[in-house]
Amino acid sequence: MTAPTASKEWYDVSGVVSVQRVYPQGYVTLRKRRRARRVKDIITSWLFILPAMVLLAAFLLYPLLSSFYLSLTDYNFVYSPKPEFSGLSNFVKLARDSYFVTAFRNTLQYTVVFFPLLVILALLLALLLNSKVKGTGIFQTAILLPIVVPLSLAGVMFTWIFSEDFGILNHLLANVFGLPGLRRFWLGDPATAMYSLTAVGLWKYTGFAVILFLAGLKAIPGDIYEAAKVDGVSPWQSLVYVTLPNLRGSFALVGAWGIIQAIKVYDQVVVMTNGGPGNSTLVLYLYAWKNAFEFFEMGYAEAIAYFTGALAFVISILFNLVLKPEKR
Amino acid sequence: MFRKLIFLVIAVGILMFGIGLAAFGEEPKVLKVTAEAWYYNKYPMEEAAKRFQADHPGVSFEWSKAGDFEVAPLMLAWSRDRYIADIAIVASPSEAVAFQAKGLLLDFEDVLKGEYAKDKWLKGFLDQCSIKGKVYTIPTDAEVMCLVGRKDYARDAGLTDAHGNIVPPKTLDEFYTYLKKLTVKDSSGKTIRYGMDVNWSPEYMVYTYFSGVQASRGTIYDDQGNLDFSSKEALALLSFWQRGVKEGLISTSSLVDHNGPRNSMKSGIAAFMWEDHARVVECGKVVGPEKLAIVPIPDSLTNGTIAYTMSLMIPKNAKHPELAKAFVLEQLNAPWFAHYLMDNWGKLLGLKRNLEGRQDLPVWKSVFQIAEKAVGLPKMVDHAKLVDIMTTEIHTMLKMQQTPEQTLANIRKRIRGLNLKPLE
Repeated sequence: MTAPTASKEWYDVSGVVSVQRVYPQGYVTLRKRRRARRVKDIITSWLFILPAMVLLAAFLLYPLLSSFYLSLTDYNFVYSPKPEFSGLSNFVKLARDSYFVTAFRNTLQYTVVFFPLLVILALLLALLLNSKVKGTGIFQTAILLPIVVPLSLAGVMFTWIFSEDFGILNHLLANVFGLPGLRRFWLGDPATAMYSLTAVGLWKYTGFAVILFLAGLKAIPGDIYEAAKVDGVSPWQSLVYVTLPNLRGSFALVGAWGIIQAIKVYDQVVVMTNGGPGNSTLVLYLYAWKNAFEFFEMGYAEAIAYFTGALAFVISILFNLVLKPEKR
Repeated sequence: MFRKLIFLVIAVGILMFGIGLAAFGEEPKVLKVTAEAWYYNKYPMEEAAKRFQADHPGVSFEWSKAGDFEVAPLMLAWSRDRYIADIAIVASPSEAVAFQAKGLLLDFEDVLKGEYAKDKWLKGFLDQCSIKGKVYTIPTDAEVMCLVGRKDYARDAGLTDAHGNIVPPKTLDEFYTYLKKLTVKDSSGKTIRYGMDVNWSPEYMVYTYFSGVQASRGTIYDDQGNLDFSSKEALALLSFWQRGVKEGLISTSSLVDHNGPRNSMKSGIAAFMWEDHARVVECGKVVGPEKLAIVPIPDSLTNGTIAYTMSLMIPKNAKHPELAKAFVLEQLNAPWFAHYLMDNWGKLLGLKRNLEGRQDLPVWKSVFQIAEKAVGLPKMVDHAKLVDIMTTEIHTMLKMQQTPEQTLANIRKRIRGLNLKPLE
């Protein structure tokens, strides 16, 4: 840091002291250069991120704002000449629409069953894969394989598995396990349809949650376990007092991701039941889709989509707040 | 200077040659067709193209396959004058209404003359393609709702005449006794062969329901001129269905799979199917055509049933609309094309002449008898909403979660705000 060579002081009319520092000629030039370089750096960094910003603005921000505006309008894509601003009427209508209420209730039901099962199953499988038992490679492949299978395709496969008359599940129950009384029309019975869809969701998404937990498990330093072992901690205590607290971050991640997957459930529903029988598997995104592309009610569909998005957002935030990793 | 002049002359010459080519050269004529993928498997499009090319040299074809016919993307593209295709197949009448409402379709009025004049078409099917008196689409997959029955099962149950033909049931009550005789259950009481499978999928719900109402009442409207969800016949129909399901006589496979009934028929676990007539040919390929017969829905020979058709359309921004119309009429409605569809898939087209020469076959004789009295459903702005409401409420009833009376009351309540006025 170059020190000023001198300073001038003077008093203005109100008696305030002003100080002007005097720097050597070379120092002033250096500062100017530094400032110019800093400005150049800022411009360069902005130029680097500009393409991403433009793309984000065009494909994320603009559609978000545009669809939000649509949610505040009365607009039938086919029969309305143009969107007409209607304020919050679409959101008010949601509360009075019994089909929407059913879709909301079904989505919550799916989430309440899917989410804890996803976390528990994924954690157990991750612990299994992280252990030194033989054959983990085969398990790993089997668990991760569903990730690469598109859910729509899996939906077709599971439709046949769950079929009342031709399905392998009923065949196994009746003819292999000798439990004919457990045969069901799994997808056609309102009592079992949503649980069948939940099973398909778990089949698809557990693998990815396992990866997230495995990453967390690998990040726990081995010396903690060694220290615990020296202190005579049992494997169960090691799990409860060492492993789980250190997986807080993974829990937050799997939690937020899992809840979003649950609330935006759509693919297997549209392929396997299309919301039926009756409305027993109608979920929020399917109802939004129906309003948009079957009834062409774009404004109302956007309101449902925004409600669903907001729901996922709020629950994820709450979850993250509860499971926020402690600062060390 | 002389050299420059030579260059100038050559340049002008090349330019003139280019302009000449552009002006007098033939622009390649490519007819682009977009359709759902299954359409290309069932319809002999390549052969139709070859025959058309023989009559119209210089025309080539480009096929585009779509998974499902999605109205919104096509409508968006056409609204912005984006060229997608010259011919789009397959739209339901209600979808065609949406396109017409946006003013995106060309009508066929100018070409429906001579051998293609309107009176040469089956009225019920052409009506389905008309909006406010103008024909905007052409039938591609015309069908009538009826019963398809297994003759061998019926014979074993004593329901056939001396010639082995199924005796048509006269009333729903009589049909119920048929179903009881035809249903087979195992020792645990589980049905292993249903008396009937009914197509209650969203695609078919309105056709299935109104075919029953039309057959029993002779109209699909109530006394006030609204779609009938209140008559005693409508209630009897729903009660018949619910009772059949409750007692294990009727399969509900279609509640989650629109292919359910035909799968049941092909695998022999259903004796009857309430669907469209075309399934008789498709299922006959699997179980043997001699084992299947078309049977009219009780009272439909007197009162009629429902006819419907999927259709093709030509957008206003088609590049070759005249050629497209010519291809549609000359090949996609040619006798050879129609007979191929009838023989292989049981599907009908709209021109009457294409049915000639087929009346002697028992299946087609029955179909024509039924088709003569068949009526089309009106085209309505809120058709899709009606389908959704009916599907939801009737499925709920079939799962024993509400009575037929509640079902009809719920439908009446929910359709109150809808625009179901016939567009004609």
